[in-house]
Amino acid sequence: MSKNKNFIDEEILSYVGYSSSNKNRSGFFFIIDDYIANTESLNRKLEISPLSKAIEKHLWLRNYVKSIPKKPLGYFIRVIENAKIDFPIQACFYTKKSKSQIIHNIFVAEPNSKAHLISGCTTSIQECKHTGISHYLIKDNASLSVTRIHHWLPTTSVFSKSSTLVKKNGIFISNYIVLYPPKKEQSHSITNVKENGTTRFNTVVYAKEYSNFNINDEVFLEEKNARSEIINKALSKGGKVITRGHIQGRGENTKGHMECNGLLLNDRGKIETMPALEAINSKTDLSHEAGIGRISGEELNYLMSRGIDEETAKSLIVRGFLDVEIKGLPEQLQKFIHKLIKKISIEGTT
Amino acid sequence: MKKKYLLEIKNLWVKAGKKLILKEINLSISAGESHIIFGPNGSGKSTLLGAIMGLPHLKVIKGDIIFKGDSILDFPIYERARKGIGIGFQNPPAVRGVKLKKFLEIINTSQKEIQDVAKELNTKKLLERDINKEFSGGEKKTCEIMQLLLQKPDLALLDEPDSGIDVENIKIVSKSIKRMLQKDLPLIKRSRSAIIITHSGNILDYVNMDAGYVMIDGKLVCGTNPSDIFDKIKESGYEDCYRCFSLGDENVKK
Repeated sequence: MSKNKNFIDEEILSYVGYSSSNKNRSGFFFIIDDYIANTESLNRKLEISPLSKAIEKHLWLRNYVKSIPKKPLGYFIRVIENAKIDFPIQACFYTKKSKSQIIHNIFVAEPNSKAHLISGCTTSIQECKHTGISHYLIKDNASLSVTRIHHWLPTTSVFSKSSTLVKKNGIFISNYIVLYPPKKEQSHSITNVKENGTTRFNTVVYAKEYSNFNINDEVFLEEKNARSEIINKALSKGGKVITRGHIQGRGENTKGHMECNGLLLNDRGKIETMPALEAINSKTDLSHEAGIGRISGEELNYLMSRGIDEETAKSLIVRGFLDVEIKGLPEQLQKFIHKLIKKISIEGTT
Repeated sequence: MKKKYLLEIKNLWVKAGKKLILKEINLSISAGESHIIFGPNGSGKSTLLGAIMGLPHLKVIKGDIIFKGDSILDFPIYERARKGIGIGFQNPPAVRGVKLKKFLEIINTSQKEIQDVAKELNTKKLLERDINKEFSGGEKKTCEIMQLLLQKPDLALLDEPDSGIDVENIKIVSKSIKRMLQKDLPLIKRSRSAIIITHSGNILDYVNMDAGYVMIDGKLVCGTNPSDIFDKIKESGYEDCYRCFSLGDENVKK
């Protein structure tokens, strides 16, 4: 591989948080096409291995996830009991030659553990199809944050599925950011939350003219005091976005809230939101709010009345709409996301 | 020699949509003067401020607005602001995602001034929040004054700064308005001017005004001493103003 090619790879990978020289990471898992390029744990309380090996070592995995293929490509990450992993774990899935990549991942947070996973997916090849299937198991009193950052080409197709089980007092936070959209993306997550469990989903997508998103999050608050919040933000500059959400309150004193916000930058795009709430216990508390529209003239006039021109005012509003502060995100990555949001906010207003 | 005004409104007629709101408005303000406009709800007070600021839903169909010697009718809002006009809205909108502090830093680049003004108005707790999002009525008013203090306009347009806030906050807001309008200086040395509109008149207990008017049905009437107008309104509401107004323009001007 030439030096120049290496440099290009490094740059593409940095967009999703990956760098071989990264400090402040607890471990790495890196796949290029169908080749596992790096598996490294820098914390002895953290087990990181290819899933194909893990299913031989942990026989219970076959029973836990029935759909694992014979030779899965993907990670198995396990944080051992009581371990608090300080720095994020970095996973990265990159296609540079292969037209198709199918990933199966399993993350297990053992009781009383705490970790943050940054999972980046990207490509440098046209017309690539990326499929990601992930399972997260958050055991009693454990806490896991997953930040997924996707960076695609206008010809990429993406299919992603995830299932999450949050056990007693567990916490699961999912941040999903797509600022370089693919041609087509379908994602579906199902989360089951047990007693006192908490989940939060933050999704931010930017849909350009060529892109089509269909995002579906389902949460089942199965036992008492389970809580969930789903916050979706979609910015369309000509692209189509459908966000569906479903929260079911089954347990006593469960609480669920859903927010769907959409901002249309022109008339060529479409944002559709379908929040669904289902109460099957009289002591569940479910709510949702949704707001979709263009940039409000009243807000623009307000900002302009302080001496800011229209472009700058629009850009401020777009930037504010997309802005995501993710706790525990490495500074460098947060800076990159801010830079990207700034770029989109300028691009979005022209 | 012809007197130079900071703001001159000449025979201004303004429509909102198809509805004619302002009729034959004439008003002149010199540098350093503060004028107050009373009037019942719906009389057109906010429309006047909006027309001066250039809010796009208002259409000037006749007349002129001259600020610092130039007609500003063709100026967009931000250019009017840059020329020295600032407005404190009665019901400012929430701007989701835009942090107040970030916005203030665009209005005024001095961190020290931002912190000082936030301390003065007891609004430090609002700085990290989205502009006006879930602000109480009082917080919205103080936030508007805070922005104007940092913007330092030559002409401040204040739309009901005294409504919807408790006595304690009126005192705080009024003190800042007095500072903004350089009320500690003699009139001749002041450079900042204001048009304040009110229907309650509470602000008069704290800020001295140089001239007062009543707006009835889109017309400015009774240009006289602000305290006299307020005493009359306190005594009999706007009834006398309507009666006076119905007698015709000659009486109105008196």
